[in-house]
Amino acid sequence: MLFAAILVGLVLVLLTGVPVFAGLALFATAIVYAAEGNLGGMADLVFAKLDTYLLVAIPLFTLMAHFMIRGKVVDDLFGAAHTLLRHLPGGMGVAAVAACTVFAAISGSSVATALTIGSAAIPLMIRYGYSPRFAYGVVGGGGTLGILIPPSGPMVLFGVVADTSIGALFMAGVVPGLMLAGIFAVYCMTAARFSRHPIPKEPRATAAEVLAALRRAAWALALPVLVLGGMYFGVFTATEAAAAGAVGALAIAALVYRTLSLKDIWQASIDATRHSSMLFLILAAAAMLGNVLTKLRIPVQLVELVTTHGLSQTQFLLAVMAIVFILGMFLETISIILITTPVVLPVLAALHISPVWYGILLTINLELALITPPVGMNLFAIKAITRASIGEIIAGVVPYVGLLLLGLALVLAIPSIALWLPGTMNYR
Amino acid sequence: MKSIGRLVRALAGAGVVVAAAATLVSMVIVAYSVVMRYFFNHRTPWVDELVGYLLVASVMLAAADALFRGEHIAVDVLTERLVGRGRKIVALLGLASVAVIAALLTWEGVDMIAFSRMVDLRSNGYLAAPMWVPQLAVPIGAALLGVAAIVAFIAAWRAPPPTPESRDPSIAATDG
Repeated sequence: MLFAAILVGLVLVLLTGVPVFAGLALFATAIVYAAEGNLGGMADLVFAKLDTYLLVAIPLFTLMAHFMIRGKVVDDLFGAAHTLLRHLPGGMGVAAVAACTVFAAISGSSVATALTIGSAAIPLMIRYGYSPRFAYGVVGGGGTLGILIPPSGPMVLFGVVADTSIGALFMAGVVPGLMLAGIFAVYCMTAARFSRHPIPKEPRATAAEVLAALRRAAWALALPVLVLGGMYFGVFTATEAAAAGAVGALAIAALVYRTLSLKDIWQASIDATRHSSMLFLILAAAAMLGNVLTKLRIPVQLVELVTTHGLSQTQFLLAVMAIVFILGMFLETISIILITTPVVLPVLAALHISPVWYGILLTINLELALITPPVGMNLFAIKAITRASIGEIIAGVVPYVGLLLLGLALVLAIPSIALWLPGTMNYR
Repeated sequence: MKSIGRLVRALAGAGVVVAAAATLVSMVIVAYSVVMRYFFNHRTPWVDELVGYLLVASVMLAAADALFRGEHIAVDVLTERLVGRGRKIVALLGLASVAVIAALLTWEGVDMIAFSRMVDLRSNGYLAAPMWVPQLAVPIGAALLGVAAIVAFIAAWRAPPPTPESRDPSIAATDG
């Protein structure tokens, strides 16, 4: 009950529009001060939380994506996918999903995926006669794959907070990510076939065109192979993969494409640094809150509550997923991970739920959070590119909410969709 | 007053430059450690520790600049529709809360360093560094953030009520 009161209080504080890190930190500090009359060793907590080698994976993966974007290496990703897939019904939609999938393997962010692919795909789809609603939906929905297909910023955060292998989480995201991409593609083909405005079918690409397209996209495809392959075969850890990927992206953009200036490199590192600063301040503030919750014995109480009521794994997961889904309408992904994970974690252990499996379920649910109104970062991303009305964009993504729920249900029912691949690797 | 504002903005700009340099250095030394281990079978145990300290410095020193650029995430589902006075009050409340938490963190950070120096606290790792050196980033960054919040507060107080604006999610989003 106390936790429910704290959760409601917290959401109310955040709804005043104060910066999330300040809201979390003040809220936590006020409770500690009321309970103990001190500030709870705030500085030590902040230092200890930030002094974490694993976290540097986030700015480094951001840097990698930035080098690829600023170096124009990914500019042609949608064009190449379109050449390869245009003969399918709804071919441009399928191509947008494919481009999102590949970009998701370069970027750890869904918003960056929707922005990058969307600015190429949406105008072209509308010009070719697809309804705007369909175009917004496919990019909004497909873009959410950014955080499920590795690398993934939210998975790094979850891995650090839950003390779970980030490499295992990344690998566990691959099959569910590809499965969802497949579901999205099938949906696009079906929707195009039964659409009231028939979309003209395009001719199949010739062998020469296919070859040219593959050549244009080769470097964008090679980088994820290096990064994910290196992790899968145990050559490097997630953090090392991030550094190797950033250096690799730098080399591709600067030496192969020759499109990256020193100024671009510097600007990319400033942007990546500023963003991770903002992100990690929230992490540090959430650590203060987690500390308070532990002092109030809330995680322990939750374990007792769950065990005395004899909740099964499935019942507990369904309850948590419902709560995360509701939080996802109002909060962004980072806050949800950082607020819920410390509380849920002891229950996972008590019920013998694999934290890797839970991490994937959580991530799919966070994909939903990105497109469920009123707060859905991908909705705002599409609005920023198209200036369309938010209502029109929401109407476009509604089918993808359903498809993501289907994916969530599948991974919940069949854990090996997520756990098979990490089970086969020798991750470090 | 205006020149103080300019000075603080310049300091925040300098902070983010140091922070970005720390990110690039982290990239280089982590990549270096992979190369050394994989090709030369040589371990570099100092890298993990140093990268942790660089991250603390980079997060704390970039915070003030991120504040000036309005990049700190806030939940604006209720407040974005406000105009005029209401919007101004929300902005002032946000900046005031940042100033308060930054002041507390500076205070506690100075305490932490005094303690580390008193007991000559050293890191457990390979570097055996005196802990107060990497810890310095916490009070310095927090103080910079606090002063930045005060400067931004005064500027927002004096400014005419803002008009509604649309969100502009950045391509660098780490959110998700």
